[in-house]
Amino acid sequence: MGCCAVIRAFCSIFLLEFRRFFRSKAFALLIIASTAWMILLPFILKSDGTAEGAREIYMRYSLGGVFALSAIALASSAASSLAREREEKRLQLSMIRPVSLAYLALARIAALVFIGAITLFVSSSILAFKTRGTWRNCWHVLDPVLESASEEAEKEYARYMADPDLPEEIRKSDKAVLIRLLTRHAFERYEAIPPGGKGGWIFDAAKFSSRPLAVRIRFTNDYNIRDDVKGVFSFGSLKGEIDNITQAIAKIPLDKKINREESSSLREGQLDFENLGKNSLMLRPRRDINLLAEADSFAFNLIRANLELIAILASLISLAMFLGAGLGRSVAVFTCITFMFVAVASSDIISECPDPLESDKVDKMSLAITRAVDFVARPINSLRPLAALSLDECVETKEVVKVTIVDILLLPLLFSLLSAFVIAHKEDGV
Amino acid sequence: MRKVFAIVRATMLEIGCDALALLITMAALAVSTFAPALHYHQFGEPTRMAREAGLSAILVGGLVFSIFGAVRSIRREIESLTIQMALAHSISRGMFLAAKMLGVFFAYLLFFVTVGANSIVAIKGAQIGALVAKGDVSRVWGPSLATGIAPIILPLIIAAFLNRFARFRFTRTAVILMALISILGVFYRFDISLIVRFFAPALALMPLAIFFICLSGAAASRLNANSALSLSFIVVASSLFLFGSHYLSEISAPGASEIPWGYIAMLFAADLILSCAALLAGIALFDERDLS
Amino acid sequence: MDQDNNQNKQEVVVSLSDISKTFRDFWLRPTVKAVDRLNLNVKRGEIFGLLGPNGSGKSTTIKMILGLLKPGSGEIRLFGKAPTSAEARAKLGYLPELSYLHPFMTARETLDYYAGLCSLPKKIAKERSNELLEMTGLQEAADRPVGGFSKGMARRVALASSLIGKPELLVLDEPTSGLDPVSTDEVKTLIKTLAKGGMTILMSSHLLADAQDVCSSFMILNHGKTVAEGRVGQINGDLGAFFLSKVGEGRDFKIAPFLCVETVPGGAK
Repeated sequence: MGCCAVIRAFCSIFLLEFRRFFRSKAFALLIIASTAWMILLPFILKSDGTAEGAREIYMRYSLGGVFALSAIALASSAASSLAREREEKRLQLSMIRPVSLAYLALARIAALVFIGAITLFVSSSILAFKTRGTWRNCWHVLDPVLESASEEAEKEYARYMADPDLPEEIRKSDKAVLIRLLTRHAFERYEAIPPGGKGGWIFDAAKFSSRPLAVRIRFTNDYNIRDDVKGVFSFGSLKGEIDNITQAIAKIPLDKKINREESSSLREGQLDFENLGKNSLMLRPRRDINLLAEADSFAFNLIRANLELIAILASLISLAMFLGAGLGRSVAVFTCITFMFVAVASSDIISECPDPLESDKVDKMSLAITRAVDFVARPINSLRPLAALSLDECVETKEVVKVTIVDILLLPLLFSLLSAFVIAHKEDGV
Repeated sequence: MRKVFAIVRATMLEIGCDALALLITMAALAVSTFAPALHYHQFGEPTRMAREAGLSAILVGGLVFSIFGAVRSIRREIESLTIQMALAHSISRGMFLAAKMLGVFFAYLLFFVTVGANSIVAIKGAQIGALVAKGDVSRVWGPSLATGIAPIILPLIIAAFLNRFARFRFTRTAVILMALISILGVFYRFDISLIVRFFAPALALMPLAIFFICLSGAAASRLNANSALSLSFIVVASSLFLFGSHYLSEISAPGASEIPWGYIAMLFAADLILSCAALLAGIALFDERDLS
Repeated sequence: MDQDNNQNKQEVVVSLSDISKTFRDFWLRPTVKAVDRLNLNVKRGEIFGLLGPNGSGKSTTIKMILGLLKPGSGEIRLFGKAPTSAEARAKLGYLPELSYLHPFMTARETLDYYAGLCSLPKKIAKERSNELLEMTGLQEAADRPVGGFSKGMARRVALASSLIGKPELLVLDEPTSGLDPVSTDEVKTLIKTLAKGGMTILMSSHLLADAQDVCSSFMILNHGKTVAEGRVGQINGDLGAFFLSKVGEGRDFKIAPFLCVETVPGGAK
């Protein structure tokens, strides 16, 4: 089959699925529901009372709601698409044509992803319009250059084992479990900078040196301690002052020049903090401090965030299509929606569950299963682009490319091939 | 009466053979067994956690079961045109619709009893576990999980065995066995006060399911399956959003000595009016439509 | 030229050798043996009738020829290739027993969809759609959703979509099922015309009079086995009588005593 012939067959199936969704009025309902959600959300949202807080919450939950709605509608539609064709015996008429069975699934996935893209595009346009006065450039977020948490955990583990006072119970524990605990601990490790003292973190910011920079710190302590924080951040020839913080996350621009001779202790790439307050500053280096480098406009960031959301949607639709190829219509839809709920719940379960170190075999087994589900479903439940958008973080192009390749190209292809295999071997639909 | 009974029986058999009914029952059993086990460290009240997980499974699973049951059962009759055969046997459309909904209700009742009985087993498991564990919180759920898994896994194995060697219908056999094994579990260390304490608030959840059987059945008599399902779930979501917290706190808060019988009776009375209204609306809509 | 034509006519388009098919349940236990060691050859230009009572294995045989079902044993060749190969499928048209159409699409869109699956260029697809809509008398209804069509009209759309790829082999499963006598006659004329144009036709039917009118060769199946085969012209007399002599009279229905209404003066009791 020539390339044109393949495209023609692909387009026919694409159009069939698009018409099916469009003419069942589901498309109109989806667009109306999404638009209503985007417009009415500000009236029912409760924020912290500040315009900034309202903006952040609106950004996150408006597109988040539309994504959830689209995911449920499109995944259900995908799960019932092939299953319905098979149950109503129409699939056999397509199967006897000179077209690969994988296209039957792939073109349908493409049509539903296209519908999802339209829905997200419409919603994003409303979002952009409603927040037009508050458009701001987004920022690349740099983490301090530290040894990885797992390396730190390995070192800590060796130190523990060398300690003669270590309780026998812990010494006999599974190494993998202890390493996991210590890795988590490495993320939560605090660093204290006493009054009058200095702290420093290295950032690899060489490629962003010509851009405006800022420091972002996150406070997990109480509000009444926060207002005592006072000090100076310095990075190369730049400095920024911090005083009387009210927000939990503070962004301090590094926009004042300092004399390099006067700050001879500063090394290029090192961010220093001099604590001029009355209390110690407590920070978790892996979580609470970042260097920000200005990236590009809000519009570009919104486009990248949308691309990533579409990619996540594509992975869900592909899975649903595969389920529909093998299972009955309602069972496939139910399984797919249950999977989404489990996916969303899995990270909560893991964060709320105790580590298997102190649990029995059943707990260990179910936690292992939950971790596996969480690993597979992480893109769905974290919805990273939405968080980034609301915090003015840059949705990195590299990440978008990676997610696009995996979720828009590889996963649909894989699930289409699996669907084709299942269709070819299922005889109950003919 | 014979006509109604025949339709009720056929509807129950239809739902009993539906793989979706089996899946929803299994999911509800799994929630009532496993969900509390995931939270015990934080709260340290295993029996309360098991009770609340059971009630949640009955509420959410029950609503999903009733809505899917009613919509699928009525749509299947209309789409496969079997309804024409039924209506050719001197039965009115209204009676047919009411009988179908009654059939769905009886199927729901089986679900209610199965999940309720399994929750009681889970609560007892938590009690036994708490005694055996003697403060070792990691051992509390051992007995509960063991007895909780039995009504999910055993019926599947036995039903598969009976299907293989005696040609029993797999889904129907598994659903019935799940109910039987769960109910059998209740008789182990039989405790009538525990049963009353659990089923009283659980009963308060039943009117909601009855109302949604009538509502989604009425919707399905006029709309296609997807629209009827969407409409029903939108009403569920908005009613739980608006009244859910009040409703749930009313029924789950009372302890052993203060079962809110009056509140439960009031709910059933209100439900009777609402369900009848939904049913009548359904009959009126159904009478108007062409069946071809 | 004549020699070429003769050679073409001798070409075997469909060949089944020793085909058996047993359906199995979830545990792989045999439930029914639908086809039992079947041998069949359909030559180019033939109108081949696959005849038999209900449950004799006609539809199963057709679905194996189409590659929708896999035979348990034996070999099937379609144009000398496996039935699942794209090359064989490109020359195939199929009209199922019931017209399985997408109810939300119009007749024209349905034809366009199947033209797309046959990879016909847009222009040719449009021309053929128009020709087929005209041929089946559906021009007026071409832009209405097929969900609202009568059974006969839906059958015409299904027939048109089976012909859109200009197939060399047309497989018809009960082509006249559910049609009125006028439409039945039209379909029979159409089949004969297509065969004259060089198309090979394999059809299944219970309607023996139709088969006698249309088919050049036939095979009678009963319980999945061949009970008779040959050319229609070689049968002395009526195909229906011949069929019953091979398959049996069939006396499955016995009237229950309570259904015997006594007609006495004063009305039925």
